[in-house]
Amino acid sequence: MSSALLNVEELQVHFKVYGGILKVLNDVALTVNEKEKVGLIGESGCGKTTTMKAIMRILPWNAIVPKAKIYFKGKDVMKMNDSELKRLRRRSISIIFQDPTAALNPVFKIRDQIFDVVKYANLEMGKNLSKKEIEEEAIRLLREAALPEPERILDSYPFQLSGGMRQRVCIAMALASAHELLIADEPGTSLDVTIEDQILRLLKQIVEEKRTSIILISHALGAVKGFVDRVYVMYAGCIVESARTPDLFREPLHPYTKGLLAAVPKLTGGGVPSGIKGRVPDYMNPPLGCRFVTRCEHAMPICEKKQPRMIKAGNDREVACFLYGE
Amino acid sequence: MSSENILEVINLKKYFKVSKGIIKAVDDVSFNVKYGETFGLVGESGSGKSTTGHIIVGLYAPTSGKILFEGMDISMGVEKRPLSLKKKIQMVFQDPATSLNPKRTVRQIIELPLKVHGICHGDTTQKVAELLQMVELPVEYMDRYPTELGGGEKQMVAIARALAVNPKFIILDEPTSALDVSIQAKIINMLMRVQKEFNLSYLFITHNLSLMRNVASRVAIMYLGKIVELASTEEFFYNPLHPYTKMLLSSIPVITDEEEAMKPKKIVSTGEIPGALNVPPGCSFHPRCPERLEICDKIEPCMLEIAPGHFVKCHLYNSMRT
Repeated sequence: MSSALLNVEELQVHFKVYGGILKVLNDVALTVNEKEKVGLIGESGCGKTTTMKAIMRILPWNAIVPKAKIYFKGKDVMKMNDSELKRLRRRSISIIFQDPTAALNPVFKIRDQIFDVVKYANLEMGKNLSKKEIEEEAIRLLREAALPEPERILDSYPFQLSGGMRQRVCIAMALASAHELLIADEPGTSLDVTIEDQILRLLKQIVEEKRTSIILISHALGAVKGFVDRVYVMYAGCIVESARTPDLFREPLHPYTKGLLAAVPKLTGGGVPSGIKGRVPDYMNPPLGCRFVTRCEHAMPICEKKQPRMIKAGNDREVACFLYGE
Repeated sequence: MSSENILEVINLKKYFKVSKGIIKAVDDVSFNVKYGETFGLVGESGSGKSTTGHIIVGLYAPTSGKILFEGMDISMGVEKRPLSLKKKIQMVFQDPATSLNPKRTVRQIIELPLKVHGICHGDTTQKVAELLQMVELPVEYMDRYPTELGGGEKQMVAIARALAVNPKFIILDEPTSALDVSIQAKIINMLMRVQKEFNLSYLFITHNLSLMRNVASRVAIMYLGKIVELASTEEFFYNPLHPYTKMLLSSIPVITDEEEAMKPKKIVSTGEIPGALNVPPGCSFHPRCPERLEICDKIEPCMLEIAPGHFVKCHLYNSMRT
């Protein structure tokens, strides 16, 4: 595809731990096109963040990557050397993490933290800014993240700001270097609903104005629905379904997606749904076939033996389930 | 006191002294919980909802105000409460990973209240097994440690521990906020079933309004230590009055079009919750309020009953006073 900005295929990530090897990511494949807003949903521990860390190549030391094809604008990220990676992280992709308190260094003022980001992001583009220019740029970015009184913010320590303001600072920092792709990893989860709503609206407005692509990771289905064009659903290290947002919410195909959507309590009432029985499989010994087989109501003999592959299931949508063909 | 209320909270206040002044965590809160109902206490972080729960269970003594439990005054700290009273009021905390002792087995965790309250002497295996079955956990889990269980299963153990002493009233402090939705659904269903079986009354504390819609019979919203609106669930969701309630409702991420249609329009979330140390004068919500009147930053509104059982604390409804 010519317009694919990011293309990930056959991504496998394992972690070496005390008791053995955790086979976390299992052939993850996803594509992000230019100017596209993509959502990645799934429950905790399903590998959403690990996927993003693999793309940025910032996995922890005990991670093993047996197989991976990651292309950013046609360039193989897995084969990049240090300086190319630096360039990728300073100019092209940036991540906003879930917990802004952990993402900011508590012993430095916002000024020191954002100045570094601005300085090196611009250096990478061949612009060596003076101190004054850096300050102007930092203030501009903070304004863009809808922070009032940016001058005062610069002279604050993270603990002097509220959670929402800290997350806005993180967004401002990400904007300095995210010229092509912004990864927002549960940007509102640690915040209150009214603040989360503000943050998501701000992010949406920014990516639409700047025409950057975004991957929005969330376990809150509603937050994704109002935001992205296309959604990937992840379960236990596998992508199980992908579809355009309205299609997915109107007619989910994979049994896991169905269960997940049904488990959300509705504002319109109607009682509490039943949830999905069982629990997420152990990554040490995942099921041989489909990883959802232990919890699936429609499990068939083939599901235990063979891994379902993503197959086409309509216009711009794919599902990994034996119920649909093969 | 009417006999239909199991719990009455009257003008409850809890102030904390800190180096920079006084934090009014709970400021003049009144509500009651009826026998067998689920009363929802909703609010964002720092609104004082958990503190209210902690006072009722006795973790703090209130600064002033009264709590009546079955007509008996219990506005004292837990150390002054008789054992028989402690048994009747139990609590389930938000994070099961920290509320269960990691060095005790599930059996030891559940049998402790049984022994303290003299419900079971000698071999408790039978009773612990019953309790595990009640919360839909396999009996084999008895000799496991909390770390060997999933988050949802840990919370089930915490609930079994609360149920062990046959309580009448359980305070559920965000029991599912730390869990995934598919597991949340399971726990809530179990809680609802147990409630019917034993005619329990719940004080359900949460920030999740969609969940509240489905479990509570009445809902109160807290903002900076005060209740700003209280109504029956139906009334609350179909006729929200307080601008803060409307803002909260409009901020909820939803997944269906019917839900979208229910959200109040023309109100968007702005501003942030001010720190508890500098609560704005007058109505504490006025800096964020889109429908602010001149009076709002000067005089604090009083609680008005707009319709039977629907209370709101807002100047907009002064003229509608009944």
